[in-house]
Amino acid sequence: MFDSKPYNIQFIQKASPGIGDAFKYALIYKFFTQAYNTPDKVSERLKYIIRLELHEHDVFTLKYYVARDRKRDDKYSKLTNNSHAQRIFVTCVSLLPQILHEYPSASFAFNASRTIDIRNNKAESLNENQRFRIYRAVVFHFIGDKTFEHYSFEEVSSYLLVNRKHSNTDKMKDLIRESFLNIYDFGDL
Amino acid sequence: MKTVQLVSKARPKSERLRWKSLNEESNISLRKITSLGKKVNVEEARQKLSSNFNLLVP
Repeated sequence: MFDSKPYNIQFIQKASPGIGDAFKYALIYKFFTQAYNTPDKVSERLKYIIRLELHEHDVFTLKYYVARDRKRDDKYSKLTNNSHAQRIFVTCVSLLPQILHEYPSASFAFNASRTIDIRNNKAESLNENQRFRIYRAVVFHFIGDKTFEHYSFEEVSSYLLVNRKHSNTDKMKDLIRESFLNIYDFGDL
Repeated sequence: MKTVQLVSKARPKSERLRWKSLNEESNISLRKITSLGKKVNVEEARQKLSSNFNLLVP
């Protein structure tokens, strides 16, 4: 199932936060997908951007989008229909060993954006959405439980890997959760 | 002659507004969620996947 090889990733830069950004800095990478033609489908070569934003408690949030959509407000929820979702996320996850080498106590968080279908006036549910199910399966496949304690927030399609260098991972999970609630202003959560 | 490459297709305003409205509706339901996070038993989850595992991080 997960025989997908990650695409080659190139580091672009370490970016400072802009006005209104709550992270300390972001590590930015790029990669290109492979174009392919099948009798049913033509898939174009796309440039993707990966952002690893460092927050309080040494937590990196993992985000990616197609570079040409960088100015769109729906860049994280847009579908490319290229059937690459699994390989793209495998590529993102392949950065983790490198990051851990540089930041041994790093934890990681990701949120799976829901798909919003304008044509049919429908928004996918927040709960265990399609992207989340793919991401979770990739994480199970590639990330063990010796380095991280795994936490799933299924109701909001989010996943957290808390580094076991923290003596109390449950407490750290709660601190990270609180910190994200303050940043993202989810109201009464 | 110069070749112009289409980088990104601009969305019509009506489409942008519809996206915004759907996104806001979902965000309202997000405020009602009180997810505390559930510890995952990775070994147990893997057994259900029945696949060969290739750990990048132990």
